[in-house]
Amino acid sequence: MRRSHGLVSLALLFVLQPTSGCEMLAADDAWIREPPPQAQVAAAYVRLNNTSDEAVVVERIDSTCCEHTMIHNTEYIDGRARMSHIEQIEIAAQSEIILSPGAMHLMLMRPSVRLKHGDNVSIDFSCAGATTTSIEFPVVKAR
Amino acid sequence: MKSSNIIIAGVLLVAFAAGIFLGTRGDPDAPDVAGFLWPDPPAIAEFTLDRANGGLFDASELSGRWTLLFFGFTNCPDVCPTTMNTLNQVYERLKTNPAVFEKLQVVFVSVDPQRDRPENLAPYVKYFNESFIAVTADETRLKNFTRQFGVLYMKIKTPGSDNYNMDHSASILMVDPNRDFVGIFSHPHEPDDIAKRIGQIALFIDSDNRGS
Repeated sequence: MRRSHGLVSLALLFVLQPTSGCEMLAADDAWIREPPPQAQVAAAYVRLNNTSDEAVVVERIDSTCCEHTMIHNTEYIDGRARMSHIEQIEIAAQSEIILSPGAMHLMLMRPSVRLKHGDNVSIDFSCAGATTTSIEFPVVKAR
Repeated sequence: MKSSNIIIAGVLLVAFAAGIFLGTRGDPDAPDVAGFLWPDPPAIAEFTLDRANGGLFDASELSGRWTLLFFGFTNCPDVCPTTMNTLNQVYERLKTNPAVFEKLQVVFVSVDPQRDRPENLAPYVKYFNESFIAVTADETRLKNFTRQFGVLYMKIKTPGSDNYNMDHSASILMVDPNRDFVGIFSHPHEPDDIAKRIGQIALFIDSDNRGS
C-alpha cells in the first residue's frame, strides 16, 4: 500500500513538473534543405533556445506544407545510418537544442507542391500546456 | 534480409573494419591514411546494375577509373542529400588534382529499388552534379554488388503506416582503376579531408604502378 502511494506521488511529481510553453522558444537559423526532384521528403533544421527558467517540451509539429510531419533522429550504428521517430523534444531551462544535418531533424513527408529555394514554410510547434508557436523556415539549396 | 546474408555482410564489415584498424602496417611504404584498405584491398568481381538513364553499369565501368560510391535512397531526407552534397564538394576540390579528376566518377547506388525506379534516379543525382551516375538493380543483383563491399541495408517499417525507411551504409567508398576496393570514408564527412585522403591514396597507387 505504501509502495503504491509512493508510485502515485512520483507520478504526480512528474505530471506537476513545471514546464513552460512554446512561446518561450526562440528560433534561430531555421532552414529546410531544398529536396531534389523525385524526393517525396524534406528535412528541416533549426536551433531552439529555451529562454525560460523551466523546461519546454515540444510534443508535436504540424505544417500545411506536407501530408505528414514528424520529429526524427539520425543515428549511426556500425557505419550504418538509421532514422528513428522521436515522440517529443525536451529543452532544459535556459538551454538550447540544435536540429542539424546528420542528427535530430524535422521530417516533412509528401509536400503538396515541390519545395523550392526561396519558398517559406511555416511549421507549428505544439508544447505541453497546449501552447503553440509558429516558426518560419526558408527553403534553401544545400549548404 | 536473410540471416545468412547478414552474417556474410557482417563478416565482411568486420574484416574491412579490421583493415582500417590495422591501417597500412603491412606495407611500410604505404601512406598512413584513415580508411585506406591496404595492402590487401578486396578485388571487385563481376556485377551488373541498371543505369538511371538506361543501359547497364557493370564491372568494366570501374576499370581505369577512380570511383566514389555512396549507397542510399531518394526518400531519405537527411543523410543522403547531405552526403550527396558532400560528394559534390569533394568533386569540386578534386578538380585541382587532374591525375584523379580526369578519371573520377561518382556513383549513387539506390538500395531501395522498390521505390527508386532507374528512370527516376537520373534527375535525383543530376540535382547534385550533372556528371554523377545513379544505378540500382533488382534485389539479387543489388545484393551481389553490395555484398562485395560489406554494405548492409534493410527496410525498416514505419509504425502505424505503410511507409518504410531504409537503414543503409553512411560511408563513401573508393574503388581504384584496378577495380580494387581501396578506401572507406566513414561519417562524419568533411570535404577537404576526404579530397586530401583520396589524393594520397591515388598518388600511392599510381606511383606503385598499380593504377592503369
